[in-house]
Amino acid sequence: MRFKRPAFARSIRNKLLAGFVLTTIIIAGIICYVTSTSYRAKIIERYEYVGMGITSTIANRLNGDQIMRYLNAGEPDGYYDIVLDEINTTQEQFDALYIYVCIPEENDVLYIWSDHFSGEETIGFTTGYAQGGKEWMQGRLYGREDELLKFVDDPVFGQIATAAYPVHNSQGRPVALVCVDFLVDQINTEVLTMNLIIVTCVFTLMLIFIVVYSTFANRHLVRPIEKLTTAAKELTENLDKDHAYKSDIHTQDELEELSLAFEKMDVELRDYIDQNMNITAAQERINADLDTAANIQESQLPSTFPAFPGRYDFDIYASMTPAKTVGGDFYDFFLVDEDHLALVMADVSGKGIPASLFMMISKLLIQSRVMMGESPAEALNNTNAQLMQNNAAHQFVTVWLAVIDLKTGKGIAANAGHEHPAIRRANGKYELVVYKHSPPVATMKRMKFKEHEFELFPGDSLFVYTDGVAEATDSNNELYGAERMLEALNKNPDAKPKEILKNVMDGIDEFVKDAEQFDDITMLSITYNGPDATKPEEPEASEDEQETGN
Amino acid sequence: MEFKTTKEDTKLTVAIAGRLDTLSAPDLEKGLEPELAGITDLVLDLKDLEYISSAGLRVLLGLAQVMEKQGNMKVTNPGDAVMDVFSVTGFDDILNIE
Repeated sequence: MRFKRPAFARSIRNKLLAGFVLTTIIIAGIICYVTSTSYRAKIIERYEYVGMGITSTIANRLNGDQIMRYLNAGEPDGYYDIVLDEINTTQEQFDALYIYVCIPEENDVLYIWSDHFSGEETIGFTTGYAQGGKEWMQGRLYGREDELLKFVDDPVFGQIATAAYPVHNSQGRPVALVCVDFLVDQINTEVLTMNLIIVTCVFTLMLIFIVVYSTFANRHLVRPIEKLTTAAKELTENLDKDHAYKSDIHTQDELEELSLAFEKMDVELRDYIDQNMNITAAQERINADLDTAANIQESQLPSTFPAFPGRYDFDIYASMTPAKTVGGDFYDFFLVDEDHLALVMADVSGKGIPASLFMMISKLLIQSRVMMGESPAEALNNTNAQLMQNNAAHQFVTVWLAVIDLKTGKGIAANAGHEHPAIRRANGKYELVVYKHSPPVATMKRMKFKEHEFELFPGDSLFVYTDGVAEATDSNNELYGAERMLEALNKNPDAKPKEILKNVMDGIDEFVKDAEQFDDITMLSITYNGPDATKPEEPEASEDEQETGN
Repeated sequence: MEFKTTKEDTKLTVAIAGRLDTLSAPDLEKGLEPELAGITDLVLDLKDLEYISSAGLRVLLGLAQVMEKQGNMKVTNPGDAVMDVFSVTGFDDILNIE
């Protein structure tokens, strides 16, 4: 599967490139600014040098006294023309805008020589000062101005730089200024040209770098990351296959390290999953064993109904609903001989496999003792003695055990710490038979259990159960209780044993609702019909059956 | 279920409160096991015990069997509900209840 990159995602390469372009622009800007500034300074320095050279050379060769005479007489002579020629030559030679000799007066500048006199302009021609020009020119004349160049924005020519040097007379007094004007718009043009060259160079280099860098980034950054991304996406899909990630990134940096770590992780993950599968398999085996144990346990309890086809002197039904897979409750019923029926209801303390093992032993011991002809108390005495021989887990079992003579309805029962049975006399209601019980089986050595006699008459019913019934708990921790159990029993007291059990179970289900079942729920119900009972005509109608029994 | 132990020399008093059932009984069993060494008198105060199930009885029986070897065990102040369980199950014959 090809990993689709989400629409919002940007390539790491593009991000790095964007960062690089931005950095380049900033660096180019800084280079341009620094070179422009220093270049401009250099050029100004050059103009200062040339300007000072021209003006000082001319000024030093001029006769200051002669200038005063031109000012007074106003007529040019031979000397004047020689100087003018020199000025014109110098102007051409140095590509200056203007060269002139002038006297900065109070309001105007008065010219003596100028290379650009035209028409009637001659000695004594005046112009106004440019902005700020007066202070500077007078300053230069009297030697109190250090600024060598004066920049002026001329509306016709653009920016002009002026250099000036004073001419002294024979008394050593300054009388005039030699000035040279340079058109310096070219400075800006030159700086601009230089910046263009710089920018072009930088961006050409950047383009070359980007191409090289992109190739590098693709090979050493983007593709390895994409490989890892694909591997990570495919990891979960390939886990069940023998297809571990093999690192083929050789960037010799963190990415290769990551790739190797990923390879290691894949291997470890597979190991972990293998282990987990083994554990799960082991767990499943245990569960299967538990199920088998539950089946074995269940098969120990008589569960075929009707249990004694062809016998109509009693009707019996029993059920066990374990809370865990295997429980500690059990019931049992069996014929000791043709006329004697044994009934067992028991509850082993605790839950799970330990309880179920104890239950199996208890059940077999009780059954074999009773089958040997022992009375309920004798059977429990001997069972107790055998269970107490090895009982490291302090387990015990509550047992209600009865043997009924089916011919007479007379019975003997022993109650070793078990719940009170419920009895229902013919046409009456179910009620609890409350009496003092013996302690549970396997609590003390050499126990002597008590037993008592009872009698069932045709139509009478017995209901025995474990504490899972009375102690069924709802989500508020409230107990179902014996009262509610009796209510369920008496909902239809004439019901046959199977329905009686269903009525109680329904009552419990309705009470506990969704709460988890904590204890095994085991019940047994028997209706005694008397020795003369015959097959009921209406098998569904229990009333008829009882009437027949009577 | 909650329990609190008080030890004086070789006498250990355990006050048990709440519900001692399938879920909580193992906690009590495990909690008391290390405390029992050298104890000659064990007193279980059940004044605040609301309910005891067969799993709880099993823990009490285990304690009684341990104490049978090393001293005495006494159960005090069981409430009516707990006492009913003791008498129905015949545990009142096994335990020394006061």
